[in-house]
Amino acid sequence: MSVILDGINYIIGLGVSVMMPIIITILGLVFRQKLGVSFKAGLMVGIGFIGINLIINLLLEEIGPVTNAMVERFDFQLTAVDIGWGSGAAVAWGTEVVPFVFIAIIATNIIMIAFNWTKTMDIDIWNYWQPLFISSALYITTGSMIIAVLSAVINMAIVFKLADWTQKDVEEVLGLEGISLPQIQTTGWAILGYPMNNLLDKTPGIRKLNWTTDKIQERVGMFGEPVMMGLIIGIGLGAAAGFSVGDILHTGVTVAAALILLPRMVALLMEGLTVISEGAQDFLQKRFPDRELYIGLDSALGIGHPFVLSLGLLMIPITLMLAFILPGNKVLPLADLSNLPFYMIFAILPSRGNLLRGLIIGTIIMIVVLYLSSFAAPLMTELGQQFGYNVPEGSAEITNMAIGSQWYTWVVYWVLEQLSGLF
Amino acid sequence: MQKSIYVCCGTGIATSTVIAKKVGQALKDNGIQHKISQGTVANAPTFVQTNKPDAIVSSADVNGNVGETPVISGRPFLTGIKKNEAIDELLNALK
Repeated sequence: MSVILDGINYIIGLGVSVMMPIIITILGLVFRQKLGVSFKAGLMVGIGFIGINLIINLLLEEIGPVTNAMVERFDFQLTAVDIGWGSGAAVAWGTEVVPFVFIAIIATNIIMIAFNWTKTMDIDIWNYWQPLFISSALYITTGSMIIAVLSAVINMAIVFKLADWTQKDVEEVLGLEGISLPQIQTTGWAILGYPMNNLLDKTPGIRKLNWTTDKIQERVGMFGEPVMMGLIIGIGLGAAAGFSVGDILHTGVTVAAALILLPRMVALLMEGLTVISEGAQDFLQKRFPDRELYIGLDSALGIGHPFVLSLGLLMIPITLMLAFILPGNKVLPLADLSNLPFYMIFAILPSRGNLLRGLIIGTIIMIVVLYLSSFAAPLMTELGQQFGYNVPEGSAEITNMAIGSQWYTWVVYWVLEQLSGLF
Repeated sequence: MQKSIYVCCGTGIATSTVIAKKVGQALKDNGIQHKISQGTVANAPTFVQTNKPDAIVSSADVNGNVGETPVISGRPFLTGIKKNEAIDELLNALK
């Protein structure tokens, strides 16, 4: 074991952009892909990391002076900049726990299917970053690989069950036949969304109101596009920081550029992971040829639905407002604002498209997200610095709303951190 | 003649990458010259206006105005279920 760990530690010492091609090549071979294909895939993942880091540093260089100026000018409290889920994914895929946690997640899925504990066959490898993030964080805070792996097993077992329970609504309302959504960011909120909806069913005054989402997308859709949103928020921040007109415009265009370029870089990383995803899919499907299973996919499939997209758009201004009025919130919402539809699916699915219910439940969800992202900021900043993000000097921290949206994984994180002395 | 196809999903990142790869393979197997663009489902109407693709393959529901452009579900390319039917549908749309 110690030889293996020494070897792994050496590879990790080479940095994430060298380590990941090696890890992905090995995982590709484990899932019976060809060496050349696996290696190229691994290289793409490494390139994706370099791209993500470039853009995140670009964003941080631009935003750092802005937040520092705002802190000086108005004793500004929102010092943890939301730099987007790509930063969480990069940290998650970039620590030594990756191969162990990856295999553990697949094993959890196979065992649960074999014992009939779940019908969801999860081939959504990209979103493995969500349990991986907590595993990486726990590994860094506790130093225990067992705890890191255990957290992912617990987090994924929960989401497989949730994906099963919500599959009927996913099929009937979103029209995703035979598909379930084992993505923690999305389906984790079902635990809150359904009871809240039942409560609202019994609330006088609200019980009978039903708002629809017609036309919202047409009217405000443009502002939900990253390019416009980035420009507007960037200009707003530059103006609030008291910059000159030229600098304000520069901040606007740079933020817009970061919001457009970051997903492109993440797409490179995803392209590499596709090979592993296909291998894992074949591997799983061969083992359970005769079972009727739901295919677990990315909830990106569901966010095109008009009422999910519309609610996500309306939640952008609400989230910005919440960030300013919530006492103790540190998060300055930015890069993940365009991903709000992911967190909103189970705000509106239980009521089957009632916008009023969606707004009420969505607001509660975002309050939780903002506080959890605030809580996660010191941890994310520490992890990011280890990753080579140039977190600006001064008061600034980094975080992202995506890690805050994985709410129950923080409960698991907290419990396991308390228990870490036992291992 | 080269055919233009817009492949999209909710984010234009994950599932559309897989679909684009498989659609490209299927078209290559059928000897059809093509150019695939990838993007978000929300951006589909804008893309149709500016680039006039011959078909859209989407993993999410396309509910904006895309005119007469044929829309093919991209889910079969992800799950492998009824994939051949989806390929046939795409080939017909491109005729």
